[in-house]
Amino acid sequence: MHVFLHFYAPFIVLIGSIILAFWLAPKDEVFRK
Amino acid sequence: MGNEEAVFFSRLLTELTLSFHIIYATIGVGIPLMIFIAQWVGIKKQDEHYILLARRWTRGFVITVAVGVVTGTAIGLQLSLLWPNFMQLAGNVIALPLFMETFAFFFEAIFLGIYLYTWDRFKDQRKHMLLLIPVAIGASFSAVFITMVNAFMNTPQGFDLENGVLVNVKPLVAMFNPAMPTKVAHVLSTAYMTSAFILASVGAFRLLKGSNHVYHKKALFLTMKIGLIFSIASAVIGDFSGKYLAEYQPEKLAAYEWHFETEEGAPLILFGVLKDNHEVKYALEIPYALSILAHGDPYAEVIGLDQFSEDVIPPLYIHYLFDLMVTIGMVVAMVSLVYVVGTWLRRRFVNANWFLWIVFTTGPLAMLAIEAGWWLTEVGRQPWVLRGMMRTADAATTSNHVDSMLLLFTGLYLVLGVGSVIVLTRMFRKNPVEQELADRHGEGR
Repeated sequence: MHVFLHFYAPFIVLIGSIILAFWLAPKDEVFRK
Repeated sequence: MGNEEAVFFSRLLTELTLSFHIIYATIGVGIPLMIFIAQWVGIKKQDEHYILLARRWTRGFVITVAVGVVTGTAIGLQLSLLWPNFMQLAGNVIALPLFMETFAFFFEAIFLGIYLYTWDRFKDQRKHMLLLIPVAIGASFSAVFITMVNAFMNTPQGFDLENGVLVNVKPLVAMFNPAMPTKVAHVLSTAYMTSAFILASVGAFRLLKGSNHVYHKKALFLTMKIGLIFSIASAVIGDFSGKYLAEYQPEKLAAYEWHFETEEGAPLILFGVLKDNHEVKYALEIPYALSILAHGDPYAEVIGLDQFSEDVIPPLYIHYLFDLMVTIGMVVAMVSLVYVVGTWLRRRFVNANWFLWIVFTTGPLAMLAIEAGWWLTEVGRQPWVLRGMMRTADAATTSNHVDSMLLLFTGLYLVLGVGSVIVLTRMFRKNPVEQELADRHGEGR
């Protein structure tokens, strides 16, 4: 748990956010009539 | 000039250089990912607006990279010239990440050059987009390697100390020190966040100045979505940083939070003013929150400043910087959340001038949070340049000419700052989006 929190967790959050950004970015149906 | 003055001016010049450099460095790290996402959406959606976004952002990015190179070279020089004793002690340990940082930048710059010169050269746009992978990786990894050096200064390891010299150096152990993961992840996440908000500010500004083109609205929606994601990620990683500090640098966390007495179930102090005898007035106290931040347990004991001697406690004004950073982080997250949800639900207020002005402030505010965060962590490491091993006062040069260097570099940064702003505004003002879209249709594209 200690190694997870202090080493892996920050990078998991960062990489997860990058993947989420790529997933959410194309969703712009609000501009398509 | 006495030695104390040399130390003072060395610190001032380093602070000035880094505070100026971090503006361009943050943009340099974050924008490639934004360009990548815009071009990817453009290809995926067959939407020329996003493709044009990527093109225009790239043009502006090149200017900021150029200034980042100059200021980055300045700080590289100053590291050796102003802090010779630090480099003599730790130079052979941090040489590897310092070199890797330069290598990562070259990796980025070479592929950025190819990317720039091959617009419209590929029949398949996707192949052109692939060139952005090394650009984005190079940009982000230059931040990773240089932040490793900063993390090493907070938690030095990977060597033995014999007769005042660092021997048996293990550079990889030094690079993967305890401060590294939270610092690196927070630096990258906030760079992506700030870059997204800076680009959102540009879009909001164009809409405020009378353009009603859907191009700017798409740009704003895209950047606010990315800003929202990374502002939340930055807060989560910031929480991990609190837990790291509690374990490895408890005096730094206690100084951040004005936590004077070691206690269980410690409250988190937000805002407030520090009076004599450690009395805090006008503060917002959140019960148990510091214990949760430090250990994830509301009843855990948090070490206070009472456990440390006066000469290793950093200046206590840094709590104001912590307040500034956290407040801005929460404000930009809220503004982007309201904008994204409002746009998704087709609410009219998101296009109202008053709200666009609020959106416009997110870019400058996020950059101010970057500055506050770096001042916070650097002043929070004092009195050490290399924690537990060398004090900042012992690391500086004894030269008599640092004050004149300060004037020289101030002049350089003024020229670079004003010059880059003039070039960027002229570049985009002379070639507005509407005209560029019309021109491209004129070419039959």
